[in-house]
Amino acid sequence: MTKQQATHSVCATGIVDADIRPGVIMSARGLEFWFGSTHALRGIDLDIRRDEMLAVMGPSGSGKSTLLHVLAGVLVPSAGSVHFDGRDITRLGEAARSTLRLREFGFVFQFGQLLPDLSAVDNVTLPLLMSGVSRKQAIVQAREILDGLGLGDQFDKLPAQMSGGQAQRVAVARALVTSPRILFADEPTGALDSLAAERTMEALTSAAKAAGAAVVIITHDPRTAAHADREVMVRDGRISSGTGLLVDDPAEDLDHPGSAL
Amino acid sequence: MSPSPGRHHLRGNRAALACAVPVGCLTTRSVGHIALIDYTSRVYTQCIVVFMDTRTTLLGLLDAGSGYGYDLKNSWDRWFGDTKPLAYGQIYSTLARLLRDGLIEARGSSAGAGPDRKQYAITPAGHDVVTKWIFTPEVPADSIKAELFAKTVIALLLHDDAERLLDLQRAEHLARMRELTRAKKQADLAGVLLADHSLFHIEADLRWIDLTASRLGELREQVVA
Ligand SMILES: Nc1ncnc2c1ncn2[C@@H]1O[C@H](COP(=O)(O)OP(=O)(O)O)[C@@H](O)[C@H]1O
Ligand SMILES: [Mg+2]
Repeated sequence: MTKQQATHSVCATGIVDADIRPGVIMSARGLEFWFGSTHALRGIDLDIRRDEMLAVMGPSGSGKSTLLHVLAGVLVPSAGSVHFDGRDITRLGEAARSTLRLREFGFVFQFGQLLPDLSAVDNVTLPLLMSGVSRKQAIVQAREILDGLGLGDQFDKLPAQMSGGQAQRVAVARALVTSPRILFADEPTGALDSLAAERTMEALTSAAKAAGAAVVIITHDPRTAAHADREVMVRDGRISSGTGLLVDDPAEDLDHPGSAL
Repeated sequence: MSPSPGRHHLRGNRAALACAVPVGCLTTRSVGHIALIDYTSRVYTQCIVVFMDTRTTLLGLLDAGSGYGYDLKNSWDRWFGDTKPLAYGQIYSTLARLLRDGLIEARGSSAGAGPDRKQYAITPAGHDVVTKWIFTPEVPADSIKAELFAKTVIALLLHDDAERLLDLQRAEHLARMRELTRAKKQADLAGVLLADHSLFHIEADLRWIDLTASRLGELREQVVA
């Protein structure tokens, strides 16, 4: 048993890393994941700061998407823990994890995520309606966030009537409209050209900041990763360079992620 | 621009390089408080010269095995001859300086023999210099290929952790890209486009680093063969 796992066994008593380390919103320890005989995650330790943008890089097939799904409670790891908000979310049942995802997390993927028959505004109101917000209120909020992302003239457009970059910004709006604590993005610029990718990242960065959300962004594109405060490299299911753990940072570092350059 | 043949090529550390290049590459590390346009106009043209730390690379070859100047020249030509040709005279003058600095020692020569009769071996101090060099990432500039390749080959020759040096370099490059990306937020369009130019160059380096990392096994086989 590693030292980190030992720390976590304390969690049953209600003492968790998130309380011990005020700047940390999510802490994963000893994550293992098997797809049948494929060992996709091999002992990943990772901390995420409350207000940071973390880039997860690495070759394709290295386990980035699997890691993101485990962090976000979509997949349950074969071993290890993910602490968020005072509890180990890997111990929650499917229904509880589903509620958690809806309330606390936002998601952006590479493409094909907007509902094709719904306008930009309707796509963005969706998660609000699912959380029980009134339709009227949902539309007000959707318009506001779309406006903030430079999509004030796209309210009634269908996904097919927008450029790839615009569609991604709608997806960002939809992910952030519920004010999630963490935004998970899997290759959000993967299908875009340089300029559209740049615009999308600028929009995502400022909108996440405005919403007060931490961001975990998977990308193999260094220009996209350069928008983040810090990066980790995943290789063969391990974090092989950069550091997943926030071990050596005094409080000043927590308050200014990325300032240690 | 042709490679500048200045003395700084023979100097081992970055501080020396900073002195030899009056304005340029090294100041970019603190770009946070230097105006972007200042960075781009001054540094860009300064960093195109092919830089390679000949002295430490030579020392690294000796670290992998003692030998005569002749052996060193052969090894050099095999791995680095295309990137940076080195004449016998340069090899011997560099060896003389390494001897003087206590980083290598001469062995098994009869008194009065010329430099070509001496066998050279690294000292513990010399080994420390090589290891430090290997694991100190380069400041991302528009061309660091020669130096990075030299470090990779020497690390493999020494059976040291070549993957780690590439990881360190990748982290250094990404940190630089973050700086430039942040600086772009305050810049006008001209500044943005100039920064983009640097970003694309650094990205090209990164792609080379990733490719090399994924072919280290093959390269190791050739290097130690
Ligand atoms: N649904 C799945 N079933 C079986 N194997 C999978 C599945 N998803 C991913 N894998 C395997 O797990 C490993 C990690 O995949 P993934 O996390 O998608 O990598 P990345 O996102 O870095 O490209 C790969 O070997 C991949 O083939
Ligand atoms: Mg993936």
